[in-house]
Amino acid sequence: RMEECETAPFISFLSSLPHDERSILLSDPPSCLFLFRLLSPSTQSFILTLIWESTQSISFSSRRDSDTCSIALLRELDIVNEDENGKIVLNPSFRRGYLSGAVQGSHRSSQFSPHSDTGKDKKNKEKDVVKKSNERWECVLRFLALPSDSTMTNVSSTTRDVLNHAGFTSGHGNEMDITSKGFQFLLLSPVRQIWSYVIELLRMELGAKRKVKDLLDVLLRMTLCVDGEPERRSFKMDNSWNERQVNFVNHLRELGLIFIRKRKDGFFYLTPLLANLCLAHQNDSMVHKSGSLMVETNFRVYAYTSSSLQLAILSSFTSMTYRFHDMSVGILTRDSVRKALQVGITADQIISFLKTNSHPESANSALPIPITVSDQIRLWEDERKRLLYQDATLYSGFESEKEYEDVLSFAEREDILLLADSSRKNVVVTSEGHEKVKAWWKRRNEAT
Amino acid sequence: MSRRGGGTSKRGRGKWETYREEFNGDDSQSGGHSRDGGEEATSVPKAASENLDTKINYSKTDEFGAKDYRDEMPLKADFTHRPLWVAPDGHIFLESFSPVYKHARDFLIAIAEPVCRPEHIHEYQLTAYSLYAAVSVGLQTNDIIEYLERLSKSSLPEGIKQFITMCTLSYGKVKLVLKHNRYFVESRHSDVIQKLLKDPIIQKCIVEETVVEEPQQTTVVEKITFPGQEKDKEMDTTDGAVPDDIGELYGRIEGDEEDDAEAIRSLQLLSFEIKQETIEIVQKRCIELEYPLLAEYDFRNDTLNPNLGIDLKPSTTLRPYQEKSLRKMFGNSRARSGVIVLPCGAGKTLVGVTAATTVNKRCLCLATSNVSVEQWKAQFKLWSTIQEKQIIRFTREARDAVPQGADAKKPCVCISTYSMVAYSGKRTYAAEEAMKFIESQEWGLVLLDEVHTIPAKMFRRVLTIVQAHCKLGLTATLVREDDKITDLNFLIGPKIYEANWMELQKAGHIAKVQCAEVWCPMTAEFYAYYLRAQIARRLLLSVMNPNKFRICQFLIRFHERRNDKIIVFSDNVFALKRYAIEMNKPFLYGETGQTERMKILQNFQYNPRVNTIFVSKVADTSFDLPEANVLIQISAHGGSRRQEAQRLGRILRAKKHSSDAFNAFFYSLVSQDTVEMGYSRKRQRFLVNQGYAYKVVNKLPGMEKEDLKLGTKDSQLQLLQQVLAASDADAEEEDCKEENVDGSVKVSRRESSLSSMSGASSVSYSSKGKAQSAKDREAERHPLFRRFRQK
Repeated sequence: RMEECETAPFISFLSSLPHDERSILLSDPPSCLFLFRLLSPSTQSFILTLIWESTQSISFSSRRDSDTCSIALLRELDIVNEDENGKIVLNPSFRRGYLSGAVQGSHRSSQFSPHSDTGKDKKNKEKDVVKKSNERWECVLRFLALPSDSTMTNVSSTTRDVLNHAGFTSGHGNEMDITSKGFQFLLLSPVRQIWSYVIELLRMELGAKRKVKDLLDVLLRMTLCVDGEPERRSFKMDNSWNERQVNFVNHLRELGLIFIRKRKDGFFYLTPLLANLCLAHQNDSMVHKSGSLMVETNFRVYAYTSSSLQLAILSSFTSMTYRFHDMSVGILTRDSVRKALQVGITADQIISFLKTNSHPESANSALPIPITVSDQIRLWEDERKRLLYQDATLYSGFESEKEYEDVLSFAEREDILLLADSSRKNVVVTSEGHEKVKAWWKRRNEAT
Repeated sequence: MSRRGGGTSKRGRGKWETYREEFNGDDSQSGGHSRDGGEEATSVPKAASENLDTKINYSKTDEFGAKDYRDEMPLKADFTHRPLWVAPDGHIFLESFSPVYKHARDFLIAIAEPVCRPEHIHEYQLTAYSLYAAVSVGLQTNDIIEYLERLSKSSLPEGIKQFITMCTLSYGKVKLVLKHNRYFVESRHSDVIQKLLKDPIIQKCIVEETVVEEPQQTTVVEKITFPGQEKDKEMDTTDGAVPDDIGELYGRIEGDEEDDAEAIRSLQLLSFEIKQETIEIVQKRCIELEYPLLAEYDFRNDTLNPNLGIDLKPSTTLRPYQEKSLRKMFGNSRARSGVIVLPCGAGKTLVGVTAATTVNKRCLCLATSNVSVEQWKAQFKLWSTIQEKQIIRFTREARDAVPQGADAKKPCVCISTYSMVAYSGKRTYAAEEAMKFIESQEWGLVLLDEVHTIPAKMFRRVLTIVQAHCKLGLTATLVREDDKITDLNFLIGPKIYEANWMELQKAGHIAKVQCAEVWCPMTAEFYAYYLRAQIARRLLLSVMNPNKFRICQFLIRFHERRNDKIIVFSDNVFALKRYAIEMNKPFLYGETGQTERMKILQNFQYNPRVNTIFVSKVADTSFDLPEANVLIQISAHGGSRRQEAQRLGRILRAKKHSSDAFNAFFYSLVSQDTVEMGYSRKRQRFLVNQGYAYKVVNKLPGMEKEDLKLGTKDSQLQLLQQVLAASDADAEEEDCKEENVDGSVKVSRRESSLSSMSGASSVSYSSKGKAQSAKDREAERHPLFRRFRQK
C-alpha cells in the first residue's frame, strides 16, 4: 500500500523511527508544520477536515477512496488513530502542534531571529552564497565520483562516514571506491540527492543509538525559514545549541545547506540547496539549475560543462570522445549503456539524469531528449531481460511412452510444467514441482 | 576449387569475405587497400591522401578516455559568441543555435565535409578533398584560415593551419580554360606557370612557345542570374550578438568572387595554349606535379559551338538552395565542373536543366535507367523552352533517330544511360551510329545523374568517349560503400554544394518523414532453421519470416485505409514475388519489360485501385514516383547506407498537405535476432547523421484484430518448406540487370541480358559472346557467381 501512494522520502524515514522519538516530533509545532507541508494535497485536506470537523472524527464508512492512501499513511505515522467505534481520530498532540505552528507562522515557529545585514554590496554577497553553497555540495559529489587524495581533503570525516555507511562507497582510504549504489545516487535529481543524504545521515545516527531529535529540530526549523530567495535571509545563531547540534550545524555548512561566512560572525544564511528539503516531490528541483547536456538523435551527447564531476557521471554510461574547455562530446553506445546497466544503474535513471540536466537550448524544444534515444536506452535494458532464469528439474529417459505421458499430464494438472519435448521425451518442471512429482511417482509405483 | 587459388589476392578471397565487405560498407575513408591497379593511383594528387587522423597521432586523453584538446585550444575571451570548436584532428563542431550559425554553415559546407547535422550541434570534418573543393570555388588559403580562426571559440590549433596550408597551397592555382575553342592553362602565379613550362612532358603539349600575358580584362563580366528568390534575406537581420569580425567576413565570402580577393585579381594572368588532343596528358601531369587543373568553361566566349537557344520557362522558379548551388557552379561567370549534392526529391533535375539552359550549348545527360531517361526528357520539357526535336534519346528501348547530315551539327540535348555509353562489347548497327554521334560531338555540358552509383572504371570509359567542357554530377548521397569518392573528386570535380536535409525538411521543400524500424520476431521454426543455415539461406529465412509478412500486410492495410500510396521494396526477388502474389499486388523487378514497367507505374500513379506496388532494387534510384508517401522495406542490400538514403528519397518529394505533422512514412522491417538487425543499424547511419531519427517499433497496436495471412502454424510450416526448397539462386539478391550499373564485372546468369542492355539484341551476337570469352569472363566474374558455377 505504501508503494502506491507517492510519499516523500522523509515521511518514510519518519515512519521507521521508534515510536517515542516520533511522538516527541509530532508534538513539536515546527515539526508538525514541516511535516504537514510534505504531505500530498489530498492528505493535507484530509487532515484539515479532521481538525475542523466538530466531531474530530470521521467514520470509516463515509471516507472516500482517495483517502485510503492518506489514512494508511497517517496511521503509519501515528497522526491518526482508530477509536473503539471504528472512527478515525486525529492524534491530539499533533493537532495542537500543528495549530500552534500554523497560528505562529513558519518564521516565528522556527524561533530564529533574523539578522539584518547592513553591508553595502548585499547583492554580491547573495550571489556569493549561492555559488559557495553549490561548490560545497559539488565537493561532496566529486569526492564520491572521483575519490582521490585531493578530493578527499575537501570533505570532512563525517561526510565520508555517511557515504560509507550509506553503502555509496566501499573500502577505506586509498582503497576506497564508488559502489553501484553510489552511482545511482549521483544520477538522482538534486532534491532526491539531498534528501537521501540527510536521511542516510540520520540513519547513521540512529544506528549508533543516538537520538535524532536534536538534529531534526535544528534542520526542520531552518527549513521552515526558507522562502522564494533563501539566500537573501540570514539569521542569528542559536546560543542554546548543544555540542552535538553545533557540530551538526557545521556539517550542514560543509554540505552547503547553510552558509556561514565566519564562525564568529554569529549568523548564517540559508541557501537554495536547503530549499530542496522543502519539496516533497522528488523530481522537480526548486533550484532550477540550467543543465549542460544536449542529446541528439544520432546518440551524441554534448556536455557544456567543465565540471569533472558532471563528466564523471556522464562517462559512467557514455563513451566520451572529445574534451574541450567548455564542452565535451560523448556517444551513447550499446556497450557504454550496458556497462552502466551491469552495475545496477537503470535505464530510467540514465534517462532522468539526461532530462534533469538538459541544456536550456534543448530543454526549450519539444523533447529535452529525443524519443528515439530514450526508447533505445530502454530497449538496451530490456534486451538484458530476455532470458529468464529459473531453477528447474529435467526428466528424461522414460521407459515407455506411457510413463512420459503420465508425467506430462501430472505436471500439466499441477501447473508446474515448464517445457515438454515430445520428440525427445523430455519434461521440465519447476524445482518446487519436483517434490510433487517425486511424491506422486512414489505413489504411482506403489499402486502398480 | 582449384580456380580459387589462382589470380590476385583480391580474387582469391572467399565468398564470405566479399559478402562481409559489401555488406558492412565501412566509414573508413582510408581506402588505401582497394585502389585498383598501381597506374590509376597516380591520378590523385599526393596531397589528397593527406589525412589529419593519421598525421596527429599524439594526443592526450583525459581521465574519461576522451581526446583531451584543452591544452591546444585555449578559449578566447568572447568564446560564447563564436560558434565553432576546431579540434586538432580536423573535426569541427558547430552550434546551430548560435546567432552566427548561418555565417558559419555556409562557410563550413564550402571547406569541410558534413559528418552529421542533427538539431543542435553539427559536426564537420576537414579533409584534403573538402579543402580542394573550397579552393576550386575560389577560396584562398589565407581566407580559409582567417575565417576559421574568427569563427572559432579558441585559437586555431597550429596543426590545422598547417594542414589547410598544405592541402590548399597548390590547389586551385592553375586552371584549364576553354576559350574561343582553344584550351589554355591559366594561372596568376608566375612561379607555377614557370614550373609547368619547364616540365618536359608539358612542353610537348604546348601549341606554341608563347606565353601570353593577357592584358587586364576590361570587359565587364555580366553576372549570371537565376530566376529564384532574388537574394537570401536571411542575413539582413543581423543580430547584435554577432561579433563584428564575423559579420564582415560573411560579406566577403558570400559576395561573388569577382569582388573579393582584389589582391589576387591584380596579379597578371598568365596562360599558355595546349593542344586539344593532349588535354588528358596535361591533366595527369599536372596532378603529378601537385597542381591539379581546375576545369572551367568560358561558355560565353565559346563561339565555335552553337548555342542551344533554350531558356527556362518564365513560370519556372528556383528554390533558394537550388539557386545557391548554381551560383556556386557559375560563380565567376564560367562553368565549373563538380558535383552538387541535394537530397532526393529536392529537385536535382531542375538544377540540371537550369545548368543546361545557362551553358546553352550541346548537352549530354546520362542517367542510370531507361525509366529515368524518360523522366529527364519530361523534365526538360516541363521546365525549359526546349522543343521536341532538340531532344534525342538513346536507350535500348526508346531510341530517337541519330541526326544525319546538317542536323548532326545542330545543337541538341541528348539523353542516354551510362551502360549504353560505357558498354565495351559489340553493338548493333543503330547503337553504333548513336555512339559515333556522341563521340563526334563537342559537348558543352555533361549532366551525370546519380554519380555516386557509377563505378570509377565505368566513369573513366564514359569520360574518354565523351568530349565535354564541363561536367556536372548530381547526387543525393556522396556515400559510397567502396570508398571511390576519391576518384569522383578528380574525375568530375569537387563537390560544389551540399544541402542540409533537415533544413530543407523544415522549410517544407521535402517531405517530413517518420522513419521506423519495425522488429518482427522470428517464428520458432524459422529460427531453428536459421541457426543452422548458410548465410545466403539465412537472409532468405529472415525475409520470409511469417511475422514479417504479417506485419507488412498489416501496414499495407493500415495505410491503404488512409488513402496512402505505398511502395514495398525487396532486394530478394523470391520474397518479392511471394509477398506480392500472396497479397495480390502488382510487382516489378529487373526482368519486367519496359512497357509493363511503365504500365505498372502509371497505374500506381493514376489508378485509385492500385495503391501498393512491390518493387525490387531496380527502383532504388531515379524512379520518380511523386505519389508515394509510404515505403516499406522488407529486404535490403546488407549494410548499404546509400541504398537506405536512396530509398528514403522515393518518398521525399514534398507532399501537398505539408504541415508540421509527418506526411511520409518509412518502415524498415527487420527480423529480430537475425543478421538483419546489425545491417539495419549500419544502413541507418547516413540518415541518422543527416538528423533523421528511427523509432524502434516492437509492437503494432491493433494487429491482433486484423485477419492476416500466415496466421496458422500449418501455413507457416508450409511456407518454411517452400523456403527450404527454394534454389540457392533464389536465396540470392537480384543480380545483374540493366540498371545495375556497378560495373561490367558482374555477369548475369542469363547471358542474353548483358548484350541486350546495350542494344545488341540479335541472337547471333549473344551466342557468339558466350563462346568467345567464357574463360575471360570467368576471371572477371564476381566471386559470388563463381561459386554457383563450380557446381
